[in-house]
Amino acid sequence: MASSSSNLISLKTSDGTVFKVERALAKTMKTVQAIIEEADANIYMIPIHNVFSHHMDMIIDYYKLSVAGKSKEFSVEKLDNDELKDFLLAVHYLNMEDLFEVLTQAVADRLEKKSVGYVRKYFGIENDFTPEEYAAIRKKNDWAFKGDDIEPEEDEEKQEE
Amino acid sequence: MRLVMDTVEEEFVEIPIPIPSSTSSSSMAKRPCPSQNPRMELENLLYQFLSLSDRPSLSLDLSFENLLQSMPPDTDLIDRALKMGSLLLDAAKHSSRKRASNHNSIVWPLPPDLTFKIFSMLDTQSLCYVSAACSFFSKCAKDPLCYENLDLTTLVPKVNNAVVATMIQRAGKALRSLKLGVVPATACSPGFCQPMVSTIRKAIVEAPNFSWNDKRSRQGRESSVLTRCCLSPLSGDGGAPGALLRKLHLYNIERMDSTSLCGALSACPSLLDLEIVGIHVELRQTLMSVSANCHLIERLFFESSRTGRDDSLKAQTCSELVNNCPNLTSLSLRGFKLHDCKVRILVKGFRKLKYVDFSSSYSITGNFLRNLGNCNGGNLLEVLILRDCMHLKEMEVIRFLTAILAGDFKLLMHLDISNREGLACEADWYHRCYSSNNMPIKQVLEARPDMRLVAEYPSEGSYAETFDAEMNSDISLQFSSPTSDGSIFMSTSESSYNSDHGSGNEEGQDAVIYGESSDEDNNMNL
Repeated sequence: MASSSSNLISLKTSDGTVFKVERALAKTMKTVQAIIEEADANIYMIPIHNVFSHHMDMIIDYYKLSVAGKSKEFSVEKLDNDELKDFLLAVHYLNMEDLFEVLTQAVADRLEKKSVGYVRKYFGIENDFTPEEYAAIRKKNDWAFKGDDIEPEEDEEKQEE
Repeated sequence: MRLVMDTVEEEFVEIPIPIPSSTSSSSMAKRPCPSQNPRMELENLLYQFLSLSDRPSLSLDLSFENLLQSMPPDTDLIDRALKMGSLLLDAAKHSSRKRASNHNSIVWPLPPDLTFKIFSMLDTQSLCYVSAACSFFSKCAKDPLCYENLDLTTLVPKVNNAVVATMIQRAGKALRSLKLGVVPATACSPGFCQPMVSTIRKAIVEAPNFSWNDKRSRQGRESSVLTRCCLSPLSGDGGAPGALLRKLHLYNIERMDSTSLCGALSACPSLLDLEIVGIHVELRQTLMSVSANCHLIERLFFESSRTGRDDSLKAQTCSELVNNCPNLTSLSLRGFKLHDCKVRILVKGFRKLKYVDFSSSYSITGNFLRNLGNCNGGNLLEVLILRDCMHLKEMEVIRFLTAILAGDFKLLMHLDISNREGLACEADWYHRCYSSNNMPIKQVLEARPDMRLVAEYPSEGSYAETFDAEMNSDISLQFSSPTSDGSIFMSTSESSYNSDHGSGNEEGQDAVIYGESSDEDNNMNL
C-alpha cells in the first residue's frame, strides 16, 4: 500500500508548513491514522486543519520525550491560557489520547483551588450572572465557599453593582 | 452550540447603529426616515434619549425638576420616571450580561464536552468555585460527567453528610471514584512515605487561618462533620450509585465504624481500589466485608487508626480473602499486628500480587519471607516495604537478602527495610541491632543494580537522637496517637517496649491475651 521506502508521513498545517513525521507519531493521531487507512493509494500530503506549525513543534517535542520515557518532563507552563486552549483544541482535533490527557490536566491545574475572582481574571471571563443568580449558585454549594484554604474573594462588592 | 472564533455573529443587536460614547465624534449614522411603525418610533425616542449622554453639561436632575415644576401638581411624572428608569436599567443590564456571555464564548472556545472533561479533573470544591465564574461554566458544572471523580477531601472538616449525598446524586450513573475525609497537609502519596493517620484535631491545628475561637468556625463545626452514615447514599436508589464505583478512599472520618463501612462496601461490587486511613474499624471485619463483596478488587491500602493495637486478623480471614479476591495486585496493611503465618497466606495466595507494604506492623518477624520467591508464591513481587516494623528480625532480613542474591525474587524492584530503631536481634527483640557487617546490602546492590534498596538505620551506637535525613520528626508525632498510653518510640533507654508488644510468635510469653475482636475501650495496662 504505502511505499515501504518512506516511513515518513507529510502533514500540512493550516499555516502552510509541511512537516514530515515518523509513521509512529502519525499513528498517535487517530484522525490522521483514519485518513491514511481510508485512502486507497498513497497519500502525499495530509492537510490538518486547525493545527498550526507551533502546535506541531510542541507535538513533536512531546513525542520525542515520551519515546525516551521522559513524558513527565513535558511542560506547557510557558503557554498562556489562550495558547493552551488553542493547543488543546488542536490535539483534540487530531485525537491524540495521551497528550490530550496531559493538556486537559494542565488546564484543570490552572483552574484548581482558585477563587471565583481569580478564575475570571485569569481566563478573561466576565461575570454574566444577575446578582440573584450568583447568590443562588453560592448558596447551592455554600459548604465550598466557607473558604479557609482558597484565596479570598476580591469581587464580592461588585456583585451589587 | 459554541460559536467558532472566526464566524462570530452579532446576533442580538437589532439596530446596527452604535450607541455613541463620549469619545466618538459627531459621526453618528443618520437613521432612516422614521416610518409610521410605532416600534421604530419608540426606538427612535430611545436613541435620542440615550444620545443625551453625550452632552457635556447634562444635568438630567435639573431638567426633570424643571419639568415637574411646569406640570400640574397631581402629575404622576415621578412614578413614571421611576418606572421607566427601572425598565431601562434592567434592559441595559440584561444586554450587558448577554454581551459578557458572548465575550466568554470567545475567550473560552472549548466546547461543552471538553469542558466537562476538564471539570471532572478538579476537586469538588474547586468545581463549585468554577461553576460560579460565569453562566457557561455553571451550565457545564451541572453535567453528571463533571462529578465522575468526587474528591471531597479537605484540610479541615468542611464536608458533611448532606454535601456527600448531593454530590453523589449529581454524579448519578457517572460516579466512578469517591474520596472523602480529612487529609492533613503533610500527607504525601501513600506507599513510600510516612503514615497519614491524623486526628481531626491535629489537622485543624495545622491548617492556616483556622482558629477555635473563630465564631463562624465554631458554629459551623458541628454541621461540618461526617457521621457514620455519610456513605449511605451509595446504597440508596437501589444501590445504583455504588454499583459502578471503582475507587473509594476514606481518610480520618472519626465517626465511621465497622458496621457503616461494611454496609458501604456491600454496595460496591465493582470496587477496584480501596484506601482506608485512620478510620476506627477492625481489620478483620473490613477484610471480611471486602472478601464478601468486592471480588474485583486490585488495590487495598489500609492504615490503622491505632498503630499496633489491632490484632484482629485471623488466618481464616486471610484464606477467604485470597480465594475471593484473586485480582489483588497491591496490598498495604500499615500499623496492624500481623503474624507471620497469616501474612504468609496472603503473600503466597495472591497470584498477581506485585506491591506489598506492611510498614509499621507489629509482630511480624520476617519469617514469612522464607522459601518464597521462586515457585512458592511471591515471585511476581516488585515492591516490598517493611519500614519501621518493630519486630522485624535482622536474621530474617539477612536470610531474605541472601535469597535475593541466590536469584529469587527476580522481579523485585524496590525493597525498603528501614527502621528508625534498627532491627530486632534474634533472641530478644528488645535489643536492637543493625550492623552493616552482617547484612549483605552492598552485595545485593551490586548483584541487582536495577533494584532500589532502602535501608536507613540510625548510626551504630545511637538511638532516638539521630534521625536519618529522610525521616523527620513528623513521623514520631504521628506514631504517638493521643489515645496511646505514652510514647512508644521515644527512647529506648527506658523500657518502652512492653511485653504487650511481643511478637506473639513465642508461646505463652504475652502477659495480656487479646480477644478476637479488638476492643476499642481496651485499657492496656502496661
